Amino acid sequence: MKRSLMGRKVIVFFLIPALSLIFVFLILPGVWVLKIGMTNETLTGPKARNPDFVGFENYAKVLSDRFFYNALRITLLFVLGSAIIGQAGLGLSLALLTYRRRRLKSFIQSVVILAWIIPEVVVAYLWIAFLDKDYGTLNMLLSAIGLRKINWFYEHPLLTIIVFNVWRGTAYSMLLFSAALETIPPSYLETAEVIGASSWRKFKDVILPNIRSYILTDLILITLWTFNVFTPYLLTGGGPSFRTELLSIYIYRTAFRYFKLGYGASIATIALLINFALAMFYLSLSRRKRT
Amino acid sequence: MRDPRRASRIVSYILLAPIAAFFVSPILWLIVTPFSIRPSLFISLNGFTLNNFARVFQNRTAVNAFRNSLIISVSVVVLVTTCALLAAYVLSRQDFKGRNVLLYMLVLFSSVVSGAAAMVPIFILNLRLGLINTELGVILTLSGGIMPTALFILKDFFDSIPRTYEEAALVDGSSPLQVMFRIFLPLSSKGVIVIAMLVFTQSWSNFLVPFVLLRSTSKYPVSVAIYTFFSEVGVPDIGMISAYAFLYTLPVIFAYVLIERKFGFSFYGGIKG
Amino acid sequence: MDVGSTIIPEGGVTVRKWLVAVLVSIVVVFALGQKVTIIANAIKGGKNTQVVDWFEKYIPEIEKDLGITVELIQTGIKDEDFKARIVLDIKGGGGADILWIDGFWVPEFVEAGYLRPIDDILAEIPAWKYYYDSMKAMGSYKGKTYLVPASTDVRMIYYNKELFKKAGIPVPWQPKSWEDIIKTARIIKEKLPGVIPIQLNAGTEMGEATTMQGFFMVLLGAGGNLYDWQLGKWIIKSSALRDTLNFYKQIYVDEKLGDAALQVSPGAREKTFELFRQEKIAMYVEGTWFYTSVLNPNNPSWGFPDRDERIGWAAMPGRGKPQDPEFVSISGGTGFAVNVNCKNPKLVAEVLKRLLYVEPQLSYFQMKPFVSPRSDLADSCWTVNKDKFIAETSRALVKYTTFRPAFPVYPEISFQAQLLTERVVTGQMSVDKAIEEFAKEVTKIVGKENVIEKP
Repeated sequence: MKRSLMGRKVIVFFLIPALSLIFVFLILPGVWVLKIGMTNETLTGPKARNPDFVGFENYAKVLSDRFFYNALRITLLFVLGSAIIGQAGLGLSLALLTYRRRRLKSFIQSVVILAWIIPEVVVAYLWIAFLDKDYGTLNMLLSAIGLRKINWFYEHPLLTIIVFNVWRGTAYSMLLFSAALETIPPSYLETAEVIGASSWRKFKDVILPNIRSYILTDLILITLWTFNVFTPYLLTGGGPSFRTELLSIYIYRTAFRYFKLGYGASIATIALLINFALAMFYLSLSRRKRT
Repeated sequence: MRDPRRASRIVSYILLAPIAAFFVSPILWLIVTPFSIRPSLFISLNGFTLNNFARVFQNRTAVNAFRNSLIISVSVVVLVTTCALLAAYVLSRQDFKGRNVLLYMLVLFSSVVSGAAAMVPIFILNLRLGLINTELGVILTLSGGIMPTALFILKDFFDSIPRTYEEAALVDGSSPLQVMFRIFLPLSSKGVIVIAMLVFTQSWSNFLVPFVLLRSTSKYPVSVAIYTFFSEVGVPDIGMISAYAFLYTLPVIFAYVLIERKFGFSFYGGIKG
Repeated sequence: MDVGSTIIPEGGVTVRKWLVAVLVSIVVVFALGQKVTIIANAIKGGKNTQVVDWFEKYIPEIEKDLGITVELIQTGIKDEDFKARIVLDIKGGGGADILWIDGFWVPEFVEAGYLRPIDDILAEIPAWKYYYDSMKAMGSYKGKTYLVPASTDVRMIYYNKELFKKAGIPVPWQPKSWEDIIKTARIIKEKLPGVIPIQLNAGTEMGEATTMQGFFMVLLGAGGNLYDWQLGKWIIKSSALRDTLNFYKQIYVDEKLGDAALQVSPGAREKTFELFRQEKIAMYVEGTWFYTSVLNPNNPSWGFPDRDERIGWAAMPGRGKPQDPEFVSISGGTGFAVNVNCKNPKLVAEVLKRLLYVEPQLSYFQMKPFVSPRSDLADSCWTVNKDKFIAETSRALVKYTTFRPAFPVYPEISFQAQLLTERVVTGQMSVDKAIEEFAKEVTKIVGKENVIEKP
């Protein structure tokens, strides 16, 4: 029996604070950015006082912007390497390696989760120290075993931030896949054991089919998150020479260093649309699953 | 069939060892360096001292930033918890069409509209409202961003609380508001505390929002202050910064341990969004 | 809490209390209203600390004289962050009354409506007539004046005499052409391994420091420029430009006389200061501020205690072909501007007037010498005789120096110039391709009708 616990007025009153905050500070900006992208507003210069409405001119400019394509390319490589291969791959591997091994799993999970919950600014500094070209721990180790010290941020910038982000984000995938593995009835695997299936067969025929939806969920969520991540800025500032300038960093530079708000908004809109497309793609896939 | 088992065990240890080392090394530095007499960029523990921490407290900007972080985080927690509590209660107890879809959409929206891209319109919004370089702007922005997730989680919690107590109270003649505050609230304290802790850690750790919206050094929270310390001019004081980072990280670890201990690490998709 | 009863004259006393409270508030508000704020990118013990010391010395006098409060807002941050701070303050309706800013921000600030024209204020300041015309021009835009220049500067090559002596190069040193510089750099490279022969700013990381101390200093030496004043167009291609980039390429790519990686690393500028201090850089093209502030013995981070003996300077020569300028320099400058939101322009005028009296100006010069924008200061025997460096460099270089094109669009063009040098020194693009990109982008920024190519 669905009886109303309270009157209409109370319901509205209870909902308004939360929903208005969401509306003003989340939904409104999310939609309004499209419109700002159609102006040439800046914070200095003549367009600060009288911005013009320029329609889709900014968007056209973005599509012929060398820096935009640079950022897009780097971001796609970053997402591929760090999310899809890195976090998901490592997360799944760790989940498999610690399956049913309570104490080992507990230890590995603690360490990996630590990397995930430490505030991003701290994590950035930890890695700057770790990779320092003269005194960083990694280089000290390398030179101790006779190898040359490497200026990581200059010689392999993209690889460095990919590895960094894998370190940072794997916890999520690992936890999710561990939970996924727990849903497989142990009898399936035991049966496979009895038959004498190899590890690879076990993985392919027993595990994989049963965690398929989890893989999907994981991929979408970490793709979205990785696509928007800003932390590498703290490590490289987008450099050297724009070689690690992710889309989020390019947007930051355009809108908040040069204060080209209108143009920055148009790039931001495109980024948000890509996000949106990814989210929609996921929704459609998961809905198809259900039918 | 012991041998293959043992073999696979050994293989997994061989594989896990370097991975574990990979994850531990940078963290190890954070634990060791603040206490080191001659702090350096590599992990070295030469002597034990609390001097680095003393230097943190002597730094006016650093101490100020702690205060700012506290003000911002606590305000966000209070704001989000109160609003989410009320709204989630309604969403849980009031069944209407599309309720779940709405929530789901909101959470997805908050994952999509995030990062530097979202900061552009949010910055302009704050500019128009005169909230640039104010703590209030940061508080409201953080609150708006985290609200959908808070709603989602709280509603889930609330759904698991049986309605029988509330219904009994209503039958007894209590008003809906009394029911809410006297019956429901105590029952839901667990969920509320979890949300408060989660919201706290998210706000405490957030860098981008205060970085974009705040301009005066005196208003920076710790996240931005640490960044200026290690990225600014001159030779960074490694001991001081590592001690500062250590102190800054403690509350977050503490909060997560608390959540884990009391409630288990329940897995909610989208928390990190 | 019955308000009504207090008004009823049972309280002759109560009414009087009210009146007193109201009067006190009016006085307080009035007194508080009499306040002038100044913002400068200076912080005690940090960046431009001398500025703070100077204010601390003179503000109390001014406050007493005028019976008001004058507050200095201190910040010690990167120039671009300082600019952002000011812009956002003003845009939000507030901001300090007096802004000590970089001269080349004036056009874009004026176009955005952030600055108040100060022609009326200048009429109250007798010292204005002593300012050089070129300096007055720096502070004006579209016929109105917005900035009182506080200091200007010139640019030259600094070199470490000790390193030169170790490499067997005769000191004092004055190259006559680019080739001379290259020859000297080669000697350093050979004789002093581990020392970077020359630091010529390149890349976007160092921002305007690249355009001013690097790009312009070379381009001008080849007889080129970014902007043609007579035709009113931006020069997007020229042989001077090509030679400029080839010079960069020779230094950074072909002969490795400079460190390319350094140019693009985060915090590059401060790193170069550090390296110069550690005597790992032999020659550095920089400006007056570098000598008087960075290398100053009173600077704890990068100062040389024996600066005057150890660090020499030489004028930057031209390319060396006939018709090329003998020496080049370019000047920037800072000054005082007034916020459009300022509520007390009359008070601001009074404060400014007093800050610009000769005595405080000489005192400031003592703490942080600068090239003077006004003749009464330059001619005073104190400045000319006491500070050898300023005297010599002014005498030698002011006649060669020029200024940046003051347009709101300049910062964007400057960025393209920085990008141009970055692409060449990191080897990302060939000189021709990089110039091609530069030309394309600048054309996009200012429009086809505003650009020109030169032979």
